Amino acid sequence: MRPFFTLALIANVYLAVFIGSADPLFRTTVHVTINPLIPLITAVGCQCGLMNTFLVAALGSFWQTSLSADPFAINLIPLFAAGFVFHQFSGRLNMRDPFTKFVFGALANFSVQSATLMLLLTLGHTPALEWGLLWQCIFSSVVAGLLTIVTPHYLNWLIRAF
Amino acid sequence: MENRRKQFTWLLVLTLAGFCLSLPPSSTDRIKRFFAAFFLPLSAAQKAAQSTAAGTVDLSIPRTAILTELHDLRSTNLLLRTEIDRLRETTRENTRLQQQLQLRPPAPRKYRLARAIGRDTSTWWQTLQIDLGTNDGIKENLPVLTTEGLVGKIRLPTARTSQVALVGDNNCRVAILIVETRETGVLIGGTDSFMDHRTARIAYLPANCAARPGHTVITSGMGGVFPKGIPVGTIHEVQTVRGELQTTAKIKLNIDTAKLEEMWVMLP
Repeated sequence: MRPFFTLALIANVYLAVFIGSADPLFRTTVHVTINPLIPLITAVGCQCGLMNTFLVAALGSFWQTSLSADPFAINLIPLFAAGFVFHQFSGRLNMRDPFTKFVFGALANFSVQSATLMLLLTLGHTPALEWGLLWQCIFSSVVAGLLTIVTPHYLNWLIRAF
Repeated sequence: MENRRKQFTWLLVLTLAGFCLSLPPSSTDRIKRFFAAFFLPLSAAQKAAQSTAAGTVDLSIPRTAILTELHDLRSTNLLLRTEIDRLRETTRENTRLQQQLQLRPPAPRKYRLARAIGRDTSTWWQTLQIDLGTNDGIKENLPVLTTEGLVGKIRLPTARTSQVALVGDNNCRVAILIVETRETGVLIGGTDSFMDHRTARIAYLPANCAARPGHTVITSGMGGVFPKGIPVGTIHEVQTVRGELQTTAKIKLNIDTAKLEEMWVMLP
């Protein structure tokens, strides 16, 4: 484990959660919440070890749910599962192709959101389930897909820098 | 070796998630406050940046525009002073009548201005973060409003920030009163529209509800969280189902929850 890289990764998780919470652009224009943590965890899953994936999932989940009405750490398992899938199959996926990255990033976002929602409902919570939610999930998945194209390049730079 | 590592990591994740999800709400609230406190420096920086940006914009306003606005404000001020004098007299009369009827007059309220510094990181809740916390006298369940109407109520206050459950969120149900018909109901969250944050639903209206589109909706004061009389919105559509014991209605909220920037917290 490289301590400086790990610290840089933690700082990026922190910033990703803050950007997701403070972003005024998508929220006021299209009424959608974006989640930059999912593109980050997919890139970490592909390029870094399992412990780094765990770290991103755990800290990301703790910070994200602390700024939300969600139960604490509700999205830990879905986030880690997304990172794990990318870690497990990164060799078989053609992650050099931007379109593949886009599709898998969007799929990861949609799956994490759906799994978190399922967990919420299973635990007896009552989130707002309406058609608008589907639109928000689709739009945020498209944004996550686009972010997944650029995040691996950024992570590569981070790995080289630290 | 690699498989063992994977199994160990999964075990760690499942144990951690299971532990966190099985904690009682009081403990998770404390942990959430602890993790939310990490964002205080960034929130403070964001607040400072917003103030600087607003100051820069103010500097670029031409002097003539400021003078015109000043003139307009003076005229409005004069009108409002006359209105206040009239309302003071009405209040005095109201207090006298309440004393004669031996009714307890409502306690005077104080307000604190708050700025929105963040939104919920999930799509399915409607909450936002404000820059006031327990250090500023903020407590759980205090009403939050703007001059247009009700915004929501305080949830999970930390030392310097608080979460606000917005009107329309499932964690913020509001007892309402339709002014024209005096019928009561409960404002619940959710609409079926894709990009509209200004509509919500009212449930538990009487079966023979006389409300019509355009009628005004205010808080009823029942439930003890929101005082009576805060404007909420106007009726948009009444949905009566034959044989049902209750009527539901769609309401157009006075505030656009997606565009909130400043708001007032009503202190006890």
